[in-house]
Amino acid sequence: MRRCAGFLLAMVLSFIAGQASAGECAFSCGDLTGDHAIALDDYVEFADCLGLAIGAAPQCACADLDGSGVVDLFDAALFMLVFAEVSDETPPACTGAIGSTANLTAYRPQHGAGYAPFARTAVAEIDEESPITGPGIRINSPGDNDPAGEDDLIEVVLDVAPAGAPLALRRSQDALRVWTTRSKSPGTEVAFSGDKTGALPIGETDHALTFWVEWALPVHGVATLTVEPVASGVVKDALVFHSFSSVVIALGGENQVPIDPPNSNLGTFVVAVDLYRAGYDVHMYDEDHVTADGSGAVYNEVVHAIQHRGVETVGIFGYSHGGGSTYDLAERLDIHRAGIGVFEIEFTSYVDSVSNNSDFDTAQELRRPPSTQVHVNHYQRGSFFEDLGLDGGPVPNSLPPPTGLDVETTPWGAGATHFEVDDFVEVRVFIMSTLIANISF
Amino acid sequence: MRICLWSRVVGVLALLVTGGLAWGVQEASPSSDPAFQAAIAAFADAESGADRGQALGELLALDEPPYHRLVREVVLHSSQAADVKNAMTGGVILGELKLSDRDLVEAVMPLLGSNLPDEVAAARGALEGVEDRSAGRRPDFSTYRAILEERIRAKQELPAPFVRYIYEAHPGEALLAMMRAQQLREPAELKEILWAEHVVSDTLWKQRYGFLAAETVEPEAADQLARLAGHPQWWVRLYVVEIMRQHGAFHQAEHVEKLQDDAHELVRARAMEVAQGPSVSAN
Repeated sequence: MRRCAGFLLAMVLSFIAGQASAGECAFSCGDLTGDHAIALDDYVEFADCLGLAIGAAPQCACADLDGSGVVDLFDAALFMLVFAEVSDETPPACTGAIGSTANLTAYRPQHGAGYAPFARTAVAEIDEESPITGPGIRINSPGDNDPAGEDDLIEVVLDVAPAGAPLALRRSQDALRVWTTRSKSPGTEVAFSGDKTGALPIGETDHALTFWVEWALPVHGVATLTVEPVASGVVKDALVFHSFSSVVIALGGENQVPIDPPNSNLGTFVVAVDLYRAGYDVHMYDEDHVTADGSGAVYNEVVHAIQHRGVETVGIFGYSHGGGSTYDLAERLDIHRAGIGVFEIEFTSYVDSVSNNSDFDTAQELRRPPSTQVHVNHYQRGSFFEDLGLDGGPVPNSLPPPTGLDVETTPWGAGATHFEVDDFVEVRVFIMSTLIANISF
Repeated sequence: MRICLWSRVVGVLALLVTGGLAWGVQEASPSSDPAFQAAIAAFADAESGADRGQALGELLALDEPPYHRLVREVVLHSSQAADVKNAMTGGVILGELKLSDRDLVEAVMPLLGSNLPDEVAAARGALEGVEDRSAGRRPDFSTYRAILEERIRAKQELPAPFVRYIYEAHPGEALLAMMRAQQLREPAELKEILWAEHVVSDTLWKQRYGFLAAETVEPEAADQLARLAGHPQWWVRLYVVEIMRQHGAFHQAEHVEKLQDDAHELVRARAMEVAQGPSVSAN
């Protein structure tokens, strides 16, 4: 019994000593909750610690702003100085000086010379630190020469206050490199020393800096980029990048032009834009960019992604002639595997697929795309009057099983025509959810 | 009279108001015939099965078999289509005509020489269906060969845009189609061309399937191409420049320079393109 009590006392004393000697707080002065803001919730935590030793509760180490070992009125005075402001200091070195604010905004990937046909799309604040829906980035290995210019770097805008605040970036992995130019012009790299840069080149009167993030190693992963003061480790904001191991291709119907935002008549591109905003590397094309033998710009893009960007997974979906082109593209990729490399076509989808041997081909495309792991198929039954007799049809081994869905057998799809079948929200949701279930980023 | 006038006014006003709001505003190609285009539009916009059938009859009545004029108008209509319905209307009409591949090619051929890129693209899009293309096999140029042979026998000039197109579509098949259309008889003549095309194609095959790097050309393939660069027949020399244009690894500056002064315009023009710009890699 005595031995047991002694053991317990030793445990308690070591806990208190541990707390007292640590005095370490990872957050900025006054930010007891670690949410990058100094507000009422922090005040509540502080008030709970007032008059107590720092070991009394976990948050009290952060409440001891001057490092005296107790949370007292001196700490309260410092707390009131920074309340509703920001601090670049961390306890126990708090002086009450007001710090800087910094916000990072990453954008979804570019294509060729810019963002078109997608709109320049910021990653939502709520998604910034998600390894799934946060900023996706293409591997940019040496030797990856993009024909339309370097488009694999991710644009990031850093907003700061006050102007010219001394801030730095920290990376969690050296896969991330940072440049002040999109094309990685010589002399524009922002150098890291270890994993932290020096002061960023923010002009004295500037409130913003645009820089470009590169994933420079041929290995997939997740990496964090944070912004903090030069002189401390107070994290102001963070971005979590995930490298793309997949590429997704969307092919519209005859004469449907990729655009963002797409109107409701362009169901294929509505899905494509939604997936792009959800964090996938999506490429939208006019189906004419896939010729009848599968060759063309789309094939070249997929092969380039596999050979130079570490892409292992391909998804392809199309409507009408875009469905026919889905078959042709998958066939060419499958036939030429020996010369391309190792990859999997994990997902394909047809909506009322029409064979695309020529612009005037009107036959149903009923063949399952070669080597696809999962194939989704939606179709309706055409009539000469309503839709010139154009339609897809059942495709073996498709989802919904066994051959896909004739939408006209559903309440929502009854009476559908070839010209609207791609626009049903039920069709779009099924395509998107099935792709997401089968293709990681 | 007054009612007739007002109905026209209302009709025009309706067009002005709704024309810009219609789903897919169709504009006519400048080369097209308004009567044909109106009939095609009536077919596309028919409001009943009976109307559509009638519209098709009226459309067919504007031309007569083998409907070359109608086919061209259909292709032109598709080249300006602003939505899926109008874009696919052409294929439906052509399906109703049940044309032979030969008739389709003959009908579309003049559009290959259009100054308007949309019309040329539409014509090329129609021809792809005749070639039965697939990733697993070479295109079928048998229809082209027959057309070429007939014209060569009749000592007619071959349409330059058509020749340019078939060489762009597949230089090897174009070379062989031209060779057969020329009615060569001497085995030695035939073998020289057959062997060269085979060796070059074999290198392309090896590049395609990863046996050779894309920038590697086997010495014999380069030699065969060099030999053909000096061939007496222009359609053989055209094959050489087209291969060099599509596959940069085959580029041989010395021969490109000579072919820029070639006696045949098509060869000259293509050689100049090769000399000026980076080649397209089409594998």
